[in-house]
Amino acid sequence: MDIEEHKVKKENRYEKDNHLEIHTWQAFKSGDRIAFERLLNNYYPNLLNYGVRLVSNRDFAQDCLQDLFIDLWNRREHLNTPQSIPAYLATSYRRRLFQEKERSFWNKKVSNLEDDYEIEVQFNIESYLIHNEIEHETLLKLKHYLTTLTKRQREVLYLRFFQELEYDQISEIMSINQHSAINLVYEALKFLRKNWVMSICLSFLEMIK
Amino acid sequence: MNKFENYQLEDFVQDLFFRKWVLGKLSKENQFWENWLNKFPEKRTIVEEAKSLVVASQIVAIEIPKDIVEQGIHNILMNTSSPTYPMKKIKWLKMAAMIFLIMSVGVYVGNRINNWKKDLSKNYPAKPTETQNNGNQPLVLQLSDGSTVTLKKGSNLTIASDFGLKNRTVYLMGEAFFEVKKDSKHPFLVYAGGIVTKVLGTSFNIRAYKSEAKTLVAVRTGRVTVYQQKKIGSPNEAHPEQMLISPNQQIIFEKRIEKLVKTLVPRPILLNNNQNSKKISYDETPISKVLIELEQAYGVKIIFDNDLLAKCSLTAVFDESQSLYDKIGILCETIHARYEIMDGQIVIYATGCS
Repeated sequence: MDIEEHKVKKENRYEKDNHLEIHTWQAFKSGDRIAFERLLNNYYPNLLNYGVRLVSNRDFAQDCLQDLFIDLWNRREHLNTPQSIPAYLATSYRRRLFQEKERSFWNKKVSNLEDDYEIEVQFNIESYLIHNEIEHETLLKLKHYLTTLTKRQREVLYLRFFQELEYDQISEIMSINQHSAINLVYEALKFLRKNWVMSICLSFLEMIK
Repeated sequence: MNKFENYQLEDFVQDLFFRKWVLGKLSKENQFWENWLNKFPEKRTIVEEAKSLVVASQIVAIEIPKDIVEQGIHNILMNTSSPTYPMKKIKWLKMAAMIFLIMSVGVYVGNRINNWKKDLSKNYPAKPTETQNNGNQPLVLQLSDGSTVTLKKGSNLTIASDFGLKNRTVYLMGEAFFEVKKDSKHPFLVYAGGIVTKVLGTSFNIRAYKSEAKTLVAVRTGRVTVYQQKKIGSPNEAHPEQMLISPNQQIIFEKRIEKLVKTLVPRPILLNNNQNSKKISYDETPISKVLIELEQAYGVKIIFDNDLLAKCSLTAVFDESQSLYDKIGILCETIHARYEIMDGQIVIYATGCS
Protein backbone atom coordinates (compact mmCIF):
# COMPACT_ATOMS: atom_id res chain seq x y z
CA MET A 1 0.00 0.00 0.00
CA ASP A 2 2.83 2.29 0.88
CA ILE A 3 4.41 1.65 -2.43
CA GLU A 4 1.27 2.33 -4.30
CA GLU A 5 0.82 5.54 -2.44
CA HIS A 6 4.37 6.55 -3.14
CA LYS A 7 4.02 5.80 -6.80
CA VAL A 8 0.84 7.77 -7.18
CA LYS A 9 2.32 10.70 -5.31
CA LYS A 10 5.45 10.61 -7.39
CA GLU A 11 3.53 10.51 -10.63
CA ASN A 12 1.26 13.32 -9.58
CA ARG A 13 4.21 15.41 -8.63
CA TYR A 14 5.98 14.72 -11.85
CA GLU A 15 2.91 15.69 -13.80
CA LYS A 16 2.35 18.82 -11.76
CA ASP A 17 5.95 19.93 -12.15
CA ASN A 18 5.90 19.13 -15.81
CA HIS A 19 2.67 21.00 -16.26
CA LEU A 20 4.08 24.09 -14.59
CA GLU A 21 7.21 23.86 -16.70
CA ILE A 22 5.23 23.53 -19.90
CA HIS A 23 3.21 26.53 -18.86
CA THR A 24 6.38 28.55 -18.23
CA TRP A 25 7.67 27.47 -21.60
CA GLN A 26 4.53 28.63 -23.34
CA ALA A 27 4.60 31.96 -21.55
CA PHE A 28 8.24 32.33 -22.61
CA LYS A 29 7.25 31.59 -26.20
CA SER A 30 4.70 34.39 -26.09
CA GLY A 31 7.42 36.82 -25.05
CA ASP A 32 6.96 36.82 -21.29
CA ARG A 33 10.24 38.03 -19.78
CA ILE A 34 9.37 36.77 -16.33
CA ALA A 35 8.92 33.27 -17.71
CA PHE A 36 12.22 33.55 -19.57
CA GLU A 37 13.95 34.60 -16.38
CA ARG A 38 12.34 31.69 -14.56
CA LEU A 39 13.65 29.28 -17.19
CA LEU A 40 17.12 30.76 -16.81
CA ASN A 41 17.05 30.48 -13.04
CA ASN A 42 15.77 26.91 -13.20
CA TYR A 43 18.08 25.49 -15.83
CA TYR A 44 21.14 27.69 -16.30
CA PRO A 45 23.12 26.47 -13.26
CA ASN A 46 22.67 22.76 -14.01
CA LEU A 47 23.31 23.19 -17.72
CA LEU A 48 26.50 25.11 -17.03
CA ASN A 49 27.63 22.37 -14.68
CA TYR A 50 27.05 19.84 -17.47
CA GLY A 51 28.83 22.00 -20.02
CA VAL A 52 31.88 22.53 -17.84
CA ARG A 53 32.17 18.78 -17.49
CA LEU A 54 31.87 18.21 -21.21
CA VAL A 55 34.46 20.74 -22.34
CA SER A 56 36.36 21.48 -19.12
CA ASN A 57 36.63 25.13 -20.05
CA ARG A 58 34.24 27.32 -18.13
CA ASP A 59 34.43 30.37 -20.37
CA PHE A 60 33.78 28.34 -23.46
CA ALA A 61 30.91 26.47 -21.80
CA GLN A 62 29.42 29.73 -20.60
CA ASP A 63 29.70 31.41 -24.01
CA CYS A 64 27.94 28.53 -25.70
CA LEU A 65 25.21 28.50 -23.08
CA GLN A 66 24.68 32.23 -23.51
CA ASP A 67 24.41 31.83 -27.29
CA LEU A 68 21.95 28.98 -26.81
CA PHE A 69 19.62 31.02 -24.63
CA ILE A 70 19.88 34.10 -26.86
CA ASP A 71 19.00 31.91 -29.85
CA LEU A 72 16.09 30.40 -27.97
CA TRP A 73 14.80 33.85 -27.13
CA ASN A 74 15.13 35.08 -30.69
CA ARG A 75 13.49 32.00 -32.16
CA ARG A 76 10.97 31.54 -29.35
CA GLU A 77 7.89 31.86 -31.54
CA HIS A 78 9.03 29.09 -33.83
CA LEU A 79 9.95 26.63 -31.11
CA ASN A 80 7.87 23.59 -30.37
CA THR A 81 6.93 22.70 -26.84
CA PRO A 82 9.18 19.78 -25.94
CA GLN A 83 8.03 16.79 -23.95
CA SER A 84 10.73 17.34 -21.40
CA ILE A 85 12.22 20.79 -21.08
CA PRO A 86 15.40 19.80 -19.20
CA ALA A 87 16.12 17.07 -21.75
CA TYR A 88 15.45 19.42 -24.65
CA LEU A 89 17.74 22.09 -23.24
CA ALA A 90 20.52 19.63 -22.39
CA THR A 91 20.30 18.08 -25.87
CA SER A 92 20.51 21.44 -27.62
CA TYR A 93 23.33 22.56 -25.37
CA ARG A 94 25.35 19.38 -25.85
CA ARG A 95 24.99 19.59 -29.62
CA ARG A 96 25.99 23.24 -29.65
CA LEU A 97 29.05 22.61 -27.49
CA PHE A 98 30.34 19.95 -29.87
CA GLN A 99 29.58 22.02 -32.96
CA GLU A 100 31.35 25.06 -31.57
CA LYS A 101 34.24 22.94 -30.45
CA GLU A 102 34.57 21.38 -33.87
CA ARG A 103 34.48 24.82 -35.45
CA SER A 104 37.22 26.14 -33.19
CA PHE A 105 39.24 23.02 -33.98
CA TRP A 106 39.02 23.74 -37.70
CA ASN A 107 39.86 27.35 -37.20
CA LYS A 108 43.03 26.35 -35.46
CA LYS A 109 43.69 23.76 -38.19
CA VAL A 110 43.79 21.02 -35.63
CA SER A 111 42.39 17.90 -37.16
CA ASN A 112 42.46 15.63 -34.16
CA LEU A 113 38.78 15.05 -33.75
CA GLU A 114 39.12 11.39 -32.87
CA ASP A 115 38.98 12.26 -29.27
CA ASP A 116 35.55 13.72 -29.84
CA TYR A 117 34.83 14.83 -26.31
CA GLU A 118 35.79 14.50 -22.71
CA ILE A 119 33.67 14.32 -19.65
CA GLU A 120 34.97 15.20 -16.28
CA VAL A 121 33.16 13.05 -13.78
CA GLN A 122 34.84 11.96 -10.63
CA PHE A 123 33.15 9.68 -8.15
CA ASN A 124 33.31 10.15 -4.44
CA ILE A 125 35.20 6.90 -4.01
CA GLU A 126 37.80 7.92 -6.61
CA SER A 127 38.58 11.19 -4.97
CA TYR A 128 38.76 9.38 -1.65
CA LEU A 129 41.15 6.77 -3.00
CA ILE A 130 43.31 9.33 -4.74
CA HIS A 131 43.31 11.62 -1.78
CA ASN A 132 44.26 8.96 0.73
CA GLU A 133 46.61 7.03 -1.57
CA ILE A 134 45.17 3.75 -0.43
CA GLU A 135 47.31 0.82 -1.49
CA HIS A 136 44.93 -2.05 -1.02
CA GLU A 137 44.91 -4.60 -3.81
CA THR A 138 41.15 -4.69 -4.27
CA LEU A 139 40.87 -0.96 -4.13
CA LEU A 140 43.70 -0.54 -6.59
CA LYS A 141 41.77 -2.76 -8.92
CA LEU A 142 38.71 -0.66 -8.37
CA LYS A 143 40.66 2.51 -8.94
CA HIS A 144 42.02 1.08 -12.14
CA TYR A 145 38.58 0.10 -13.29
CA LEU A 146 37.18 3.50 -12.57
CA THR A 147 39.77 5.05 -14.84
CA THR A 148 38.73 2.66 -17.58
CA LEU A 149 35.09 3.63 -17.48
CA THR A 150 34.18 4.92 -20.92
CA LYS A 151 33.14 8.49 -21.49
CA ARG A 152 29.65 7.35 -22.30
CA GLN A 153 29.42 5.42 -19.06
CA ARG A 154 30.64 8.40 -17.12
CA GLU A 155 28.24 10.71 -18.87
CA VAL A 156 25.30 8.38 -18.31
CA LEU A 157 26.18 7.99 -14.64
CA TYR A 158 26.56 11.73 -14.35
CA LEU A 159 23.17 12.44 -15.93
CA ARG A 160 21.51 9.80 -13.77
CA PHE A 161 23.24 10.41 -10.45
CA PHE A 162 24.02 14.12 -10.59
CA GLN A 163 21.31 15.61 -12.78
CA GLU A 164 18.82 12.99 -11.56
CA LEU A 165 17.19 12.52 -14.94
CA GLU A 166 14.90 9.73 -16.12
CA TYR A 167 16.29 7.22 -18.62
CA ASP A 168 14.10 8.49 -21.46
CA GLN A 169 15.52 11.97 -20.92
CA ILE A 170 19.08 10.63 -20.81
CA SER A 171 18.62 8.65 -24.00
CA GLU A 172 17.31 11.77 -25.73
CA ILE A 173 20.25 13.88 -24.60
CA MET A 174 22.93 11.39 -25.59
CA SER A 175 21.01 10.16 -28.65
CA ILE A 176 21.24 6.52 -27.66
CA ASN A 177 18.33 4.22 -27.03
CA GLN A 178 16.87 3.87 -23.60
CA HIS A 179 18.08 0.29 -23.14
CA SER A 180 21.66 1.29 -23.80
CA ALA A 181 21.37 4.04 -21.22
CA ILE A 182 20.05 1.62 -18.62
CA ASN A 183 22.66 -0.99 -19.54
CA LEU A 184 25.53 1.46 -19.22
CA VAL A 185 24.47 2.30 -15.67
CA TYR A 186 23.93 -1.31 -14.64
CA GLU A 187 27.23 -2.51 -16.10
CA ALA A 188 29.16 0.05 -14.12
CA LEU A 189 27.28 -0.73 -10.93
CA LYS A 190 27.72 -4.50 -11.35
CA PHE A 191 31.44 -4.08 -11.57
CA LEU A 192 31.51 -1.93 -8.49
CA ARG A 193 29.52 -4.56 -6.65
CA LYS A 194 31.78 -7.44 -7.70
CA ASN A 195 34.90 -5.64 -6.61
CA TRP A 196 33.51 -4.44 -3.42
CA VAL A 197 34.94 -5.32 -0.05
CA MET A 198 32.20 -4.51 2.35
CA SER A 199 34.36 -3.91 5.37
CA ILE A 200 36.59 -1.45 3.62
CA CYS A 201 33.61 0.14 2.08
CA LEU A 202 32.05 0.61 5.47
CA SER A 203 35.18 2.04 6.99
CA PHE A 204 35.29 4.39 4.06
CA LEU A 205 31.79 5.45 4.92
CA GLU A 206 32.77 6.04 8.52
CA MET A 207 35.67 8.20 7.47
CA ILE A 208 33.85 10.51 5.18
CA LYS A 209 31.09 11.13 7.65
CA MET B 1 3.11 -3.47 -6.73
CA ASN B 2 6.05 -5.17 -5.07
CA LYS B 3 8.52 -3.23 -7.17
CA PHE B 4 10.99 -2.55 -4.36
CA GLU B 5 10.66 -6.03 -2.87
CA ASN B 6 12.14 -7.55 -5.99
CA TYR B 7 14.87 -4.97 -6.24
CA GLN B 8 18.47 -6.17 -6.63
CA LEU B 9 21.38 -4.15 -5.34
CA GLU B 10 21.90 -2.27 -8.62
CA ASP B 11 18.21 -1.49 -8.82
CA PHE B 12 18.39 0.30 -5.50
CA VAL B 13 21.59 2.16 -6.32
CA GLN B 14 20.25 3.58 -9.58
CA ASP B 15 16.79 4.42 -8.20
CA LEU B 16 16.42 8.19 -7.92
CA PHE B 17 13.97 8.00 -5.04
CA PHE B 18 16.24 5.64 -3.09
CA ARG B 19 19.31 7.84 -3.76
CA LYS B 20 17.44 10.90 -2.56
CA TRP B 21 16.74 9.13 0.72
CA VAL B 22 20.35 7.96 1.20
CA LEU B 23 21.74 11.40 0.42
CA GLY B 24 19.28 13.08 2.78
CA LYS B 25 17.39 14.90 0.06
CA LEU B 26 13.93 13.75 1.08
CA SER B 27 11.85 15.85 3.40
CA LYS B 28 11.78 14.83 7.06
CA GLU B 29 8.10 13.92 6.81
CA ASN B 30 8.79 11.37 4.12
CA GLN B 31 9.30 8.20 6.14
CA PHE B 32 8.69 5.89 3.21
CA TRP B 33 11.97 3.99 3.39
CA GLU B 34 11.99 3.69 7.17
CA ASN B 35 8.49 2.25 7.03
CA TRP B 36 9.40 0.00 4.16
CA LEU B 37 12.39 -1.40 6.06
CA ASN B 38 10.22 -2.07 9.08
CA LYS B 39 7.89 -4.00 6.86
CA PHE B 40 10.66 -5.96 5.16
CA PRO B 41 13.42 -6.31 7.79
CA GLU B 42 15.11 -9.03 5.70
CA LYS B 43 16.04 -6.33 3.19
CA ARG B 44 18.21 -4.43 5.65
CA THR B 45 21.47 -6.00 4.49
CA ILE B 46 20.97 -5.28 0.83
CA VAL B 47 19.81 -1.76 1.62
CA GLU B 48 22.91 -1.08 3.72
CA GLU B 49 25.07 -2.35 0.88
CA ALA B 50 23.21 -0.21 -1.61
CA LYS B 51 23.57 2.81 0.64
CA SER B 52 27.33 2.55 0.68
CA LEU B 53 27.42 2.17 -3.07
CA VAL B 54 25.28 5.26 -3.47
CA VAL B 55 27.70 7.25 -1.38
CA ALA B 56 30.70 5.86 -3.21
CA SER B 57 29.22 6.49 -6.62
CA GLN B 58 28.16 10.01 -5.78
CA ILE B 59 29.66 12.44 -8.22
CA VAL B 60 32.12 15.01 -6.98
CA ALA B 61 30.70 18.47 -7.53
CA ILE B 62 32.46 21.02 -9.68
CA GLU B 63 32.10 24.28 -7.85
CA ILE B 64 30.88 27.11 -10.02
CA PRO B 65 30.83 30.35 -8.01
CA LYS B 66 27.37 31.81 -7.54
CA ASP B 67 28.35 35.19 -8.96
CA ILE B 68 29.56 33.54 -12.18
CA VAL B 69 26.14 31.95 -12.59
CA GLU B 70 24.36 35.19 -11.75
CA GLN B 71 26.54 37.17 -14.13
CA GLY B 72 25.86 34.61 -16.87
CA ILE B 73 22.11 34.88 -16.42
CA HIS B 74 22.34 38.67 -16.28
CA ASN B 75 24.31 38.77 -19.55
CA ILE B 76 21.69 36.69 -21.31
CA LEU B 77 18.91 38.94 -20.07
CA MET B 78 20.82 42.04 -21.21
CA ASN B 79 21.57 40.51 -24.58
CA THR B 80 18.00 39.53 -25.26
CA SER B 81 16.46 42.84 -24.30
CA SER B 82 18.28 44.60 -27.14
CA PRO B 83 18.71 43.55 -30.75
CA THR B 84 22.53 43.74 -30.63
CA TYR B 85 24.19 40.42 -31.14
CA PRO B 86 27.11 39.50 -28.88
CA MET B 87 30.16 40.97 -30.59
CA LYS B 88 32.76 38.33 -29.96
CA LYS B 89 31.00 35.81 -32.16
CA ILE B 90 31.00 37.98 -35.22
CA LYS B 91 33.81 37.34 -37.64
CA TRP B 92 35.32 40.24 -39.57
CA LEU B 93 33.36 39.55 -42.74
CA LYS B 94 30.10 39.53 -40.87
CA MET B 95 31.30 42.60 -39.05
CA ALA B 96 31.84 44.47 -42.32
CA ALA B 97 28.39 43.48 -43.49
CA MET B 98 26.98 44.63 -40.21
CA ILE B 99 28.72 47.99 -40.41
CA PHE B 100 27.41 48.48 -43.93
CA LEU B 101 23.93 47.56 -42.78
CA ILE B 102 24.10 49.82 -39.74
CA MET B 103 25.29 52.71 -41.89
CA SER B 104 22.53 52.21 -44.45
CA VAL B 105 19.96 51.99 -41.72
CA GLY B 106 21.50 55.08 -40.15
CA VAL B 107 21.23 57.06 -43.37
CA TYR B 108 17.68 55.86 -43.88
CA VAL B 109 16.62 56.63 -40.34
CA GLY B 110 18.39 59.99 -40.53
CA ASN B 111 16.39 60.90 -43.63
CA ARG B 112 13.21 59.76 -42.00
CA ILE B 113 13.89 61.86 -38.93
CA ASN B 114 14.62 64.88 -41.09
CA ASN B 115 11.39 64.35 -43.01
CA TRP B 116 9.55 63.91 -39.78
CA LYS B 117 11.00 67.09 -38.40
CA LYS B 118 10.08 68.90 -41.61
CA ASP B 119 6.54 67.55 -41.32
CA LEU B 120 6.39 68.77 -37.79
CA SER B 121 7.53 72.24 -38.66
CA LYS B 122 5.14 72.32 -41.60
CA ASN B 123 2.19 71.56 -39.36
CA TYR B 124 3.17 73.68 -36.44
CA PRO B 125 4.93 76.90 -37.12
CA ALA B 126 6.11 77.32 -33.53
CA LYS B 127 9.13 75.24 -32.53
CA PRO B 128 8.85 72.26 -30.23
CA THR B 129 10.89 72.37 -27.03
CA GLU B 130 13.41 69.64 -26.62
CA THR B 131 15.04 68.62 -23.35
CA GLN B 132 17.97 66.23 -23.23
CA ASN B 133 19.07 64.92 -19.85
CA ASN B 134 22.84 64.60 -20.11
CA GLY B 135 23.37 64.59 -16.37
CA ASN B 136 23.80 61.59 -14.13
CA GLN B 137 20.63 62.20 -12.16
CA PRO B 138 17.02 61.95 -13.29
CA LEU B 139 15.73 65.32 -14.37
CA VAL B 140 12.32 66.52 -13.18
CA LEU B 141 10.46 68.64 -15.71
CA GLN B 142 7.37 70.71 -14.93
CA LEU B 143 5.08 71.03 -17.92
CA SER B 144 2.81 73.99 -18.55
CA ASP B 145 -0.31 71.95 -17.68
CA GLY B 146 0.99 71.07 -14.22
CA SER B 147 2.16 67.57 -15.12
CA THR B 148 5.63 66.42 -14.14
CA VAL B 149 8.00 64.24 -16.12
CA THR B 150 10.98 62.57 -14.48
CA LEU B 151 13.43 62.09 -17.31
CA LYS B 152 16.02 59.33 -16.76
CA LYS B 153 19.63 60.05 -17.64
CA GLY B 154 20.46 59.99 -21.33
CA SER B 155 16.80 60.38 -22.27
CA ASN B 156 15.20 63.03 -24.38
CA LEU B 157 11.76 64.63 -24.21
CA THR B 158 10.30 66.87 -26.89
CA ILE B 159 7.19 68.85 -26.13
CA ALA B 160 5.09 69.54 -29.20
CA SER B 161 4.63 73.18 -30.07
CA ASP B 162 0.86 72.85 -29.93
CA PHE B 163 1.00 71.24 -26.46
CA GLY B 164 -2.27 71.90 -24.66
CA LEU B 165 -4.22 73.29 -27.64
CA LYS B 166 -6.13 70.16 -28.48
CA ASN B 167 -3.95 67.42 -27.13
CA ARG B 168 -0.98 67.46 -24.83
CA THR B 169 1.60 65.77 -27.05
CA VAL B 170 5.17 64.87 -26.13
CA TYR B 171 7.83 62.68 -27.78
CA LEU B 172 10.12 60.51 -25.69
CA MET B 173 13.38 58.79 -26.46
CA GLY B 174 14.66 56.76 -23.54
CA GLU B 175 12.89 56.34 -20.23
CA ALA B 176 10.69 58.62 -18.13
CA PHE B 177 8.10 58.53 -15.37
CA PHE B 178 5.02 60.65 -16.01
CA GLU B 179 2.61 62.12 -13.48
CA VAL B 180 -0.11 63.66 -15.55
CA LYS B 181 -2.47 66.30 -14.28
CA LYS B 182 -6.08 65.35 -14.91
CA ASP B 183 -7.64 67.15 -17.85
CA SER B 184 -10.22 65.09 -19.69
CA LYS B 185 -10.63 67.68 -22.43
CA HIS B 186 -6.99 67.55 -23.45
CA PRO B 187 -5.67 64.00 -23.72
CA PHE B 188 -2.00 63.58 -22.88
CA LEU B 189 -0.19 61.68 -25.63
CA VAL B 190 3.31 60.22 -25.45
CA TYR B 191 4.92 59.08 -28.70
CA ALA B 192 7.73 56.68 -27.89
CA GLY B 193 9.38 53.62 -29.43
CA GLY B 194 6.68 52.91 -31.99
CA ILE B 195 3.68 53.28 -29.74
CA VAL B 196 1.40 56.02 -28.52
CA THR B 197 0.32 56.12 -24.90
CA LYS B 198 -2.82 58.11 -24.27
CA VAL B 199 -3.96 59.16 -20.81
CA LEU B 200 -6.28 61.63 -19.19
CA GLY B 201 -4.69 61.88 -15.75
CA THR B 202 -2.52 59.24 -14.18
CA SER B 203 1.05 58.19 -13.44
CA PHE B 204 3.04 55.71 -15.48
CA ASN B 205 6.50 54.86 -16.71
CA ILE B 206 7.65 54.53 -20.32
CA ARG B 207 10.86 52.86 -21.33
CA ALA B 208 11.65 53.37 -25.00
CA TYR B 209 15.38 53.21 -25.72
CA LYS B 210 16.23 53.13 -29.37
CA SER B 211 18.74 50.35 -28.74
CA GLU B 212 16.20 48.06 -27.12
CA ALA B 213 13.90 45.66 -28.92
CA LYS B 214 10.96 46.59 -26.78
CA THR B 215 9.02 49.55 -25.54
CA LEU B 216 7.50 49.18 -22.08
CA VAL B 217 4.64 51.11 -20.54
CA ALA B 218 3.91 50.39 -16.88
CA VAL B 219 1.06 51.99 -14.98
CA ARG B 220 1.33 53.21 -11.38
CA THR B 221 -2.09 54.84 -10.96
CA GLY B 222 -5.11 55.43 -13.16
CA ARG B 223 -5.65 54.03 -16.61
CA VAL B 224 -3.65 54.27 -19.79
CA THR B 225 -4.46 53.51 -23.40
CA VAL B 226 -1.71 52.30 -25.71
CA TYR B 227 -1.69 51.77 -29.44
CA GLN B 228 0.80 51.45 -32.23
CA GLN B 229 2.06 54.67 -33.70
CA LYS B 230 1.92 53.62 -37.35
CA LYS B 231 -1.66 52.45 -37.06
CA ILE B 232 -3.24 55.60 -35.77
CA GLY B 233 -5.62 57.79 -37.63
CA SER B 234 -6.48 60.69 -35.44
CA PRO B 235 -5.17 60.28 -31.92
CA ASN B 236 -8.58 61.02 -30.49
CA GLU B 237 -10.36 58.21 -32.28
CA ALA B 238 -10.69 54.86 -30.61
CA HIS B 239 -8.20 52.56 -32.27
CA PRO B 240 -9.31 48.97 -32.88
CA GLU B 241 -6.09 47.48 -31.51
CA GLN B 242 -5.67 49.82 -28.62
CA MET B 243 -5.09 48.31 -25.21
CA LEU B 244 -6.19 49.65 -21.88
CA ILE B 245 -4.01 48.99 -18.87
CA SER B 246 -4.53 49.73 -15.20
CA PRO B 247 -2.19 49.89 -12.17
CA ASN B 248 0.51 47.24 -11.97
CA GLN B 249 -0.14 46.21 -15.53
CA GLN B 250 2.38 46.70 -18.27
CA ILE B 251 2.40 46.79 -22.04
CA ILE B 252 5.29 45.33 -23.94
CA PHE B 253 5.62 46.43 -27.53
CA GLU B 254 7.93 44.30 -29.61
CA LYS B 255 9.24 46.60 -32.26
CA ARG B 256 10.38 43.88 -34.65
CA ILE B 257 7.09 42.04 -34.87
CA GLU B 258 4.98 45.07 -34.00
CA LYS B 259 2.97 43.31 -31.38
CA LEU B 260 1.49 44.64 -28.17
CA VAL B 261 1.39 42.26 -25.21
CA LYS B 262 -0.34 42.99 -21.95
CA THR B 263 1.24 41.59 -18.81
CA LEU B 264 1.94 42.51 -15.19
CA VAL B 265 4.86 44.60 -13.95
CA PRO B 266 7.70 42.54 -12.44
CA ARG B 267 7.07 43.97 -8.97
CA PRO B 268 3.47 44.99 -8.38
CA ILE B 269 3.08 47.61 -5.63
CA LEU B 270 0.25 48.16 -3.21
CA LEU B 271 -2.11 50.83 -4.46
CA ASN B 272 -2.48 52.42 -1.07
CA ASN B 273 0.99 53.07 0.25
CA ASN B 274 0.15 53.14 3.92
CA GLN B 275 -0.95 49.54 3.64
CA ASN B 276 2.67 48.73 3.06
CA SER B 277 3.66 48.45 6.67
CA LYS B 278 0.63 46.45 7.58
CA LYS B 279 0.90 42.82 8.49
CA ILE B 280 -2.15 40.82 7.55
CA SER B 281 -2.79 37.52 9.23
CA TYR B 282 -5.28 35.02 8.00
CA ASP B 283 -6.71 32.30 10.16
CA GLU B 284 -8.80 29.75 8.31
CA THR B 285 -9.94 32.62 6.11
CA PRO B 286 -11.88 31.60 2.98
CA ILE B 287 -9.55 31.73 -0.02
CA SER B 288 -12.01 33.78 -2.05
CA LYS B 289 -11.91 36.49 0.62
CA VAL B 290 -8.09 36.56 0.54
CA LEU B 291 -8.07 36.76 -3.25
CA ILE B 292 -10.55 39.63 -3.28
CA GLU B 293 -8.45 41.50 -0.72
CA LEU B 294 -5.29 40.98 -2.78
CA GLU B 295 -7.15 42.06 -5.89
CA GLN B 296 -8.18 45.30 -4.21
CA ALA B 297 -4.81 45.92 -2.58
CA TYR B 298 -2.90 45.63 -5.86
CA GLY B 299 -5.65 46.57 -8.29
CA VAL B 300 -4.84 43.45 -10.27
CA LYS B 301 -7.73 41.35 -11.51
CA ILE B 302 -7.61 37.82 -10.13
CA ILE B 303 -9.79 35.28 -11.88
CA PHE B 304 -10.86 32.16 -10.02
CA ASP B 305 -13.76 29.76 -9.73
CA ASN B 306 -15.69 30.79 -6.66
CA ASP B 307 -17.64 27.55 -6.35
CA LEU B 308 -14.54 25.41 -6.70
CA LEU B 309 -12.72 27.31 -3.97
CA ALA B 310 -15.72 27.42 -1.65
CA LYS B 311 -14.20 24.95 0.78
CA CYS B 312 -10.64 26.29 0.63
CA SER B 313 -9.17 28.40 3.39
CA LEU B 314 -5.84 29.97 4.25
CA THR B 315 -3.90 30.35 7.46
CA ALA B 316 -0.89 32.57 6.91
CA VAL B 317 0.72 35.91 7.70
CA PHE B 318 1.50 38.26 4.84
CA ASP B 319 3.75 41.25 5.25
CA GLU B 320 5.50 43.91 3.22
CA SER B 321 8.54 41.75 2.50
CA GLN B 322 6.49 39.48 0.26
CA SER B 323 5.64 40.43 -3.27
CA LEU B 324 2.24 39.81 -4.79
CA TYR B 325 3.68 36.76 -6.54
CA ASP B 326 5.04 35.39 -3.23
CA LYS B 327 1.63 35.73 -1.69
CA ILE B 328 -0.19 34.14 -4.60
CA GLY B 329 2.46 31.39 -4.61
CA ILE B 330 1.91 30.59 -0.93
CA LEU B 331 -1.81 30.61 -1.44
CA CYS B 332 -1.62 28.29 -4.43
CA GLU B 333 0.68 25.91 -2.61
CA THR B 334 -1.76 25.69 0.26
CA ILE B 335 -4.65 24.68 -1.94
CA HIS B 336 -2.59 22.73 -4.51
CA ALA B 337 -3.40 25.16 -7.27
CA ARG B 338 -1.27 26.99 -9.80
CA TYR B 339 -1.53 30.40 -11.37
CA GLU B 340 -0.86 32.04 -14.69
CA ILE B 341 -0.43 35.62 -15.67
CA MET B 342 -2.56 36.10 -18.71
CA ASP B 343 -3.45 39.31 -20.44
CA GLY B 344 -2.42 41.33 -17.39
CA GLN B 345 -4.56 39.28 -15.04
CA ILE B 346 -3.85 36.49 -12.61
CA VAL B 347 -5.74 33.29 -13.32
CA ILE B 348 -5.94 30.66 -10.57
CA TYR B 349 -6.28 27.05 -11.63
CA ALA B 350 -7.47 24.96 -8.73
CA THR B 351 -8.98 21.58 -8.20
CA GLY B 352 -10.88 22.50 -5.07
CA CYS B 353 -10.57 21.41 -1.47
CA SER B 354 -12.41 18.80 0.52
